[in-house]
Amino acid sequence: MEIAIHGEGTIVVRFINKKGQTLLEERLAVSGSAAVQARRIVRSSSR
Amino acid sequence: MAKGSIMLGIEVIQTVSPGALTIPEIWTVAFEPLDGDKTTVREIDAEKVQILSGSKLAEFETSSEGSLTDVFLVFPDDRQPLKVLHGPSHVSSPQFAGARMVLLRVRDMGYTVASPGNLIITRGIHAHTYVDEVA
Repeated sequence: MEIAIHGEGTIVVRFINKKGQTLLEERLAVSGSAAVQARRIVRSSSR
Repeated sequence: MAKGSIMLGIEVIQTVSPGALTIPEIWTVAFEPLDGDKTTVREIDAEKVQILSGSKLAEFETSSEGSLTDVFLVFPDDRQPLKVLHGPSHVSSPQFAGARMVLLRVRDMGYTVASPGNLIITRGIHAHTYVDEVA
């Protein structure tokens, strides 16, 4: 899975299983100018 | 027109809930366009705080080191390869002419424990770089 961010800011991503339980939470913050972008590549093998 | 002084920063905080057996590696980049003038990378640094516990791992580990932080300068000419600078560094790089993009990349390992098992981890990584582009 690839997460793309355009511009400064913070996102929170939660990986949730079929039972509705959160297995993993990630908070990703990017700082820079208005033109900054970011990519987060996650190999989603969490169980 | 040169961009002047630029700061690029990435922060990743991961928390795993009980029951998870795998935490993915961290592989994240932040990037920003440059104007192709003269670029100097002034600083590359990262801070990491980690608390890790799990079956078949060291019983308890805390770490403030281990993440890998690199800066890449990208040039438009195919014949000019990427310029790769490794952190941590608090010494200014040489001046590079013509770069059109700067990328900050941070990496850290993932963990997996066999089932049945348990894995408890909280980690936070903050990486940044300071770049100057002048005419």
